[in-house]
Amino acid sequence: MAIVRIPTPLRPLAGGQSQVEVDARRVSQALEVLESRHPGLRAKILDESGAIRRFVNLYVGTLDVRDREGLATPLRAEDVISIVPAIAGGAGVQDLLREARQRVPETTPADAATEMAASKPLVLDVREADEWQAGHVPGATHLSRGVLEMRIEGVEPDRHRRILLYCAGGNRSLLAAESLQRLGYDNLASVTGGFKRWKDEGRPFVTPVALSAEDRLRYARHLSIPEVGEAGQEKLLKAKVLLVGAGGLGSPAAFYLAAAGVGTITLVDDDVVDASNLQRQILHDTRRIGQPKVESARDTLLALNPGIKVVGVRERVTSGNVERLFAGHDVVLDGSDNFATRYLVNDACVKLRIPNVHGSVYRFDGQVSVFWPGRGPCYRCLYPEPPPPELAPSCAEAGVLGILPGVIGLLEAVETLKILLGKGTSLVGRLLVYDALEASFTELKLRRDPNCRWCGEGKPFPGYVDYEEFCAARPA
Amino acid sequence: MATLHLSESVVAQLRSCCEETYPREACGLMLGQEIPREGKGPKRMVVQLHPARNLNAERPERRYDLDPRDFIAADARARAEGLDILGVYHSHPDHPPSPSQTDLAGAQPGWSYIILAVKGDGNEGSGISQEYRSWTLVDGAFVEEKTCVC
Repeated sequence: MAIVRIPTPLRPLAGGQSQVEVDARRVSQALEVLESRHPGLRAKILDESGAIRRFVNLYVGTLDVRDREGLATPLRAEDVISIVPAIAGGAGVQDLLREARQRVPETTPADAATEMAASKPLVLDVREADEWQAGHVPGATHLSRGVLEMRIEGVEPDRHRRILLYCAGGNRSLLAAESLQRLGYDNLASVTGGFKRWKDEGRPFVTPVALSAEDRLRYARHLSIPEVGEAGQEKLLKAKVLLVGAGGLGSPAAFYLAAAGVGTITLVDDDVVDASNLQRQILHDTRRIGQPKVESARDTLLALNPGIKVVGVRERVTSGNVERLFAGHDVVLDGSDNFATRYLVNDACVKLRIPNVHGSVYRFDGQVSVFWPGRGPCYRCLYPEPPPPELAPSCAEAGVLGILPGVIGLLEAVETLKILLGKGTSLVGRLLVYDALEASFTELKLRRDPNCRWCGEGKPFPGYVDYEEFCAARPA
Repeated sequence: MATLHLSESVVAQLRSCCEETYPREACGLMLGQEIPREGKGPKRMVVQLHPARNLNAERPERRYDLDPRDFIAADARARAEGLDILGVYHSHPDHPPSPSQTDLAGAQPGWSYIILAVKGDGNEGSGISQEYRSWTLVDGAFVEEKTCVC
């Protein structure tokens, strides 16, 4: 026989008894027996759907049946079932709001708008995702109330930064601001009346392009990190990245950029797939030997992610086409293996002010950097002119560890995503050197040359140069 | 309506445990006996307090969730000593001893709910107990009940 202990509030329903013995093999059966003897008791424990009520806990011994098999939890003789009322309370929500109002300064939508125009406060929308989707204040960052404390540091580590919080009506943002104060954020204000008043006063708002259900699933792991989230994923889907070369560096980079949902990927390569490429150029496969690389790459990328656009340009980058090819792209990822192309890529990026993500590999060594016009040095700040052909290594002879372009190409892809998302610290002004044999990363500081003929302030663009090609093998 | 009788030692224990827990909310169960009286409400005599853990980690200074395991332990202790659980006590740090909507939502009929106000004394994390009042559910609303120390 198991024993059901009846708490005092329920005893009137159990004929005043403090416990009832039942012959039952499972908790559900015990409750049936209880009900047959004391009608009305079960309704205090289970709701209409037969689930345990929110304000009730059922324990067998010292274990909550919710942590075991629920109502199907088996019973042994002598087991004690306790019906435990959930005992909870505390100050009410009106009390909380009143207190929050005493601690958190409030600002009107009009003052908030003035402040946003004058300085650049962080504007936090603490509503739920569906409310954000329906429209939000332009330039606001979405961080719903439920994840605020966990994610705020990733969004804004500076605790003295001016932060304006809003919700739909001005209450949630007040409580959210109070939570942030507890974390040490000391320059906050909650917008009274929230988004509703903002809109009612005719202030501008934007409606984000909603991700489709399919995209939501595909990019779920992006959506759940604050640095990407829905806004970031939308940026990626709208982004255009051009890859110079669909070879050793371009393959892994394009593969992952496609997977990440970069909306338009342009591949420029005039080569065809050769058997000797397959040791590292993973966009291609044995069946595609002899096919143009851009076609082979396009097939592979679209098979992985049919939701993006892949533009294949079967051309070699020259002084004549480089500007036309690069124009309109957000980032250029350089996967070229020769100096002639590298200088054209650099020069066009400087002229068009497009960030140039640079990578190169040689045997066991790789290098990555970001040449971002206006923010750091360009390739010519370091190497104003290419070396004479006789000093340049020939790639075909030099060889490369097959995985190395994978490592470097992916580092380039990571830098590309960071630039597109506007997150993190870019490799601008730094050269990251990877030594595969030593398994070491070394960082070299790169300085901008103020007198650089290409990127120096106020210098007229000197024009493109077609250097003599001195590397027999095409892309790395 | 019932009258809640508290011994001096119970009141002292109530004050000290709520002060110790300040600035968080203290909570616990009241153990005792209910003695029916002819012609008027019963006399509820609290003879022991059973302090419980507050499982609310998010806002323990404004909320309490009494640990169900403490309820089971209190229930076992009451049964062993021939007592009943008569109700719940909890503190309102820096707040008047009146029940909130949250208190009402979790209230059980037939129990007494003592709320003790604790006020910060100016030293970090230190508070002094103030007034306490006891409440009980009548037709779904809290009504204050009489208490006496004897």
